[in-house]
Amino acid sequence: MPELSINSLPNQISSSAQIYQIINFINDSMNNIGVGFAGKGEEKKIRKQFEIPPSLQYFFSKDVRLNDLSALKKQLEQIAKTSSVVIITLSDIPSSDFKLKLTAWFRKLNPFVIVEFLIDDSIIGGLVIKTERRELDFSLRSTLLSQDIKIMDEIKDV
Amino acid sequence: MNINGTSFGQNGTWVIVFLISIILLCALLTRLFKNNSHSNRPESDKDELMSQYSNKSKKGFEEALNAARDKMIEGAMAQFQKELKNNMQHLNEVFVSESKRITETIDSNLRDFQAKSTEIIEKSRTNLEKSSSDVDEKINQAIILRKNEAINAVELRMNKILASYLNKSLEGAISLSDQEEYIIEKLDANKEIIIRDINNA
Repeated sequence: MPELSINSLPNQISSSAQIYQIINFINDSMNNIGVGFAGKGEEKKIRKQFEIPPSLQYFFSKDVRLNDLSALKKQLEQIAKTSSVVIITLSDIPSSDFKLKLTAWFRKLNPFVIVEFLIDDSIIGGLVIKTERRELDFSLRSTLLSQDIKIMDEIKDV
Repeated sequence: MNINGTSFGQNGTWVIVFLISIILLCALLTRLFKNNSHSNRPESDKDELMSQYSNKSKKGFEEALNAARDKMIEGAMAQFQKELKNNMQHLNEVFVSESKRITETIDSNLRDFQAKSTEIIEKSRTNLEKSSSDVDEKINQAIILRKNEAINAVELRMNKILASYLNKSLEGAISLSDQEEYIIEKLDANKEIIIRDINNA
């Protein structure tokens, strides 16, 4: 049986925490059902017994067999260790759709990029993107404060 | 008479000769007698005489020995004194020479020490002045830096206060859903930079 090879991370799995959640799930699964089982009947039986979380259903769809768990685990560990990470700071909690939309935007650029979300209401609006190289500040606070107004000068003038 | 006179002259000569002979004979006899009297001395006298001769000989030998010894000592002393004098002279010359050399060495070392001390003191003074200047400069820089930091901190704090005020004022007025278009636009506008960052990390 060929080893599992995923071509991109699903947009539902954006953060490294979610990736490690899957890895832990796979570990638990392997500990419970064993790795060396074979036979479709047995696999179906185990699928029924073993409740797969909705967020992880992607990895256990028709394309993925339980026999591939070990390979999947290795690949996910590799992704978690080596993939680029983008941290997006927003002023409020994003909706699931908007989160998916933003993750999809980044995954078009890099299918394995890990997208983390932070909430900071002090940015007022917009977003701040932090990569391993730099920080791109598109926040409203930054826009307001980038007017090169020196508070001390203003105070003196009052 | 003449005949008698002549006879008398001849007889007178014989008489004189005879008298001289008598005198000589008496002297010889006296001598013999004397010798004879010596040889007939008793045994104790002989021992005493032998002792006297022995003492006399011993004394003479001792005197000769002493004289020879004195002479030898005198010669040895003279030689010793001469050598001593030479040695003392040589020693004196060596002492003077060494004293001179040591004095010159000490003088040279003192001069070197003085020169080095002066150099060290001069260098220390220069370094101290430079250090003092550096410290002054650093203090000035630190004061300016601290002043700027204080101003920046105040400005940052004021900025935060202003941002907080705006945030509170605009709370609910700007929802995230209203910003979606703006956010996607910003992402698209900076797509190239983001691609480089996330693909070359």
